[in-house]
Amino acid sequence: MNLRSLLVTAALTAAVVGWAAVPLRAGFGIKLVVLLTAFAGVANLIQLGLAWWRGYENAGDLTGGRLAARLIAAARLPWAEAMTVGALVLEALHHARPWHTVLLGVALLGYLFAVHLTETGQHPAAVRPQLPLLAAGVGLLALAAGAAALPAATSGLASGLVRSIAIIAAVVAAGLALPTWTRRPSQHEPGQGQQQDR
Amino acid sequence: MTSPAVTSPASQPAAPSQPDQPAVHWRQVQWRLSRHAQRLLTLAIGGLLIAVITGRPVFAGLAAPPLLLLAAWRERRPAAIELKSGIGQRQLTEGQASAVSAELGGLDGHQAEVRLAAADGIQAGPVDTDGEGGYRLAYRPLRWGRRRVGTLEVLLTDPMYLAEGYLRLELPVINCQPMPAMPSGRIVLNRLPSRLGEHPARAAGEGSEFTGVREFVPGDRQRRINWPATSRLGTLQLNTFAAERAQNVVIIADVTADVGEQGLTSLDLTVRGAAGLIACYQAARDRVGLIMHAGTLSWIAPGLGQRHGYRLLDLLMSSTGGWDRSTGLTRLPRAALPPGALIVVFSPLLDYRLVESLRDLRERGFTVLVIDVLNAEPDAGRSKNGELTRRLWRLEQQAIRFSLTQIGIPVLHWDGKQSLDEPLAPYTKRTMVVRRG
Repeated sequence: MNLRSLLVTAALTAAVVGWAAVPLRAGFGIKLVVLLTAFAGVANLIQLGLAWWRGYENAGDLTGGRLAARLIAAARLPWAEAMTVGALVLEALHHARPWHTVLLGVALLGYLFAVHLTETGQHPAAVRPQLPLLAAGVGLLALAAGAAALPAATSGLASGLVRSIAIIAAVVAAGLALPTWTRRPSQHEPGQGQQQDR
Repeated sequence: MTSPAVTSPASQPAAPSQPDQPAVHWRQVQWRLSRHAQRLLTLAIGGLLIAVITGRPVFAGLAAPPLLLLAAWRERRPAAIELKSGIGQRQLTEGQASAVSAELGGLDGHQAEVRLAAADGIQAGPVDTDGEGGYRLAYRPLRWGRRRVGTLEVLLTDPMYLAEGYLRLELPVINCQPMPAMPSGRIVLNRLPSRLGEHPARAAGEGSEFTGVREFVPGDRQRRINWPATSRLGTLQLNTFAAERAQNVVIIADVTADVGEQGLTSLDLTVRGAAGLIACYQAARDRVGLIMHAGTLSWIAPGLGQRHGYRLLDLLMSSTGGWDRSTGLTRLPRAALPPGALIVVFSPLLDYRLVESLRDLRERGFTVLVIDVLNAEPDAGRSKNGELTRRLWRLEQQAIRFSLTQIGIPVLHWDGKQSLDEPLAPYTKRTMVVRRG
C-alpha cells in the first residue's frame, strides 16, 4: 500500500458520492442517505489509512479523533460495501438518467479496484489480466443504458422479458452469495486444518 | 512450618542452543471469497435488486461488469499445501534475534503471503522472501521465560484475487533465558573452604600469586628459590605463593513480588542479576547454588560445571513467583547452605518472611549481602491520607534496610539500568571479611 493509491481512493470516494448526490434534492431521506454514504466512504478511508500507517498502535494517548479512528478500524465493518450500496440507493432516489448511472457504475468499479489495490499494496498493472472482462462488462453496461434510453423498451413484451430475466438473475445471484456471506469467517478465526505429518 | 518443596527442575537440563530442524506438514486450506470478490458481489446484487424494485434496467446493467469478473472464479484450488517450518533456535536470550523459516509447496499458481502473529512478549520483525517459496520471518523475545512464539499465518490468493485461502500453524514454545547482568568483578570472602579453585587465599600453597620470601628448608622445591634474595642474604631463600581456593556461593532469588516499571520490574532484575552472578561465579570455577524464595521454596545445592549451570537457569525460569500467605517459612534449608558460603540475595525486601530468614542466616554465621531491587513505590492516590501513607511505607522500608545493616548485612540498591558492578564495587575491590554472629 502506498500513499498515492490511498489518495486515488480518496479522490474516487469523493467523485462517487458527489456524482451520486448531484443534483442534491430537498428531503430528509436523500440528505440522510448522502450523509451515511459519505460517512461510509470516510470510514473506509480511515480503515485503509490506519492499515497503511503501521505505527498507529503505539501512537500515544487515545483522545478525541484518534479514539474514533481506532474504533472505526477496530469495528472491521465492510465500509466499502456500505458506500457502494449507499451510492446505488442515492442514484435510485433520483429520476431516471441512464448515462449518469453508467458513469456512476464506471466510477464505482474504479473505486472498488482502487480499494482493492490500496488494501493489497499491488501495482495497478496487476489488474491487467482482468481488463478484457472489465471492458466487456462496461460494454454491456453501455448497452443497458442505451436500451433504457429507448422509449419503446420501457413497456411491452420485451421489457417484461428483460425484467423477468433480471429477477431470475437477481434470485440466482442472491442464492449463490448468501451462503457465502453467512459463513464469512473473521480474520482471526483459528484454523481448523488437519495436520498430516509426512 | 511448612516443609519446603524440593524442586529438581530438570532431570535432563536444557541443552545449549541447538537449531530446530524444520518440520514438514500438509495443511488443509480454508477457502473463502476474497474481500475484493465480496465487494464486486455487493455491486452486482445491489444493482440487480434496485433494477427489479425500481423497474430501471440500467441498474441491471451495473451488475454486468462485476458478474463477468466473478465468472472467472477458479474451481481448481489446492485443498492442502505443503508447509515446511522451523523456529531456528529453541534456546534464546532476551532480545536475541531469531527467525522462523517457512517453505511453501503445492501452491498451484496461487500467490502466498506469510506473516507471523507474534504471541505476548515476542516482537515480530520483517519478512524476507527468497522468491522461490521460502520465507524468513524475524522475531525477537522481549522478556525471559518459556513462551510461545506465536502463529504462522499463510494467506493464499488466486491470480484474479477472487478467492483467498487461509491456514495457521501454531509455532512451538521457546526457552528464553534472561539477559544476565554479569558483573566484571566478584565478591570473594577472606576465609575460603579448602577446595581447589581460582581465588588466592590467605594460606600459602601452590598457587601463582606471590606472597613472600622465606628461608629454604629441606624438601622445598628448588625451582622456587629466589636467587636475588639468596645472594643478598647469604642463605637459600624461597618464594612463597598463596593457595588457590574455590568458594561456595548461594544466590537467593526472592520472586514473591513483581513490582515496578515494565521490563525493569523487581522480578526482572532479580532474575537477570541472579543469572549474571551464576555465570560470573561459574566462570571462576566456584560452586554455585540457588534458592528460589516464592510461595514454595525450591533450591539446588552448590555445584560445579556447565550442566549444573543449566539446571540453575532452568530453576530460575521455572518459578512462577507469587506470594502465599499460608507458608510461614522463615528458615532456609541447611542442605542448600554449606558452611562458610557467601550468600547473595536479590530481593525487593517486601516479604517479612525473607527478612526474618536473612536475620536467621546472619545469626547462623553466614556472610550475607542483599541487593535491593525495589524501584517502585505505592501510588499515593488522590486521597488526603495517601501521601501520609506513602511516607509511612517509606519509613518502614528504610527501617527494614537499617535493621539489616545493623546486624551486618549490607544492603545495596540496584536500579537495573546501571551495571551491577556499580553497587557491588565496594565489595569486589577487596576480599569481604567474614564476621561470625
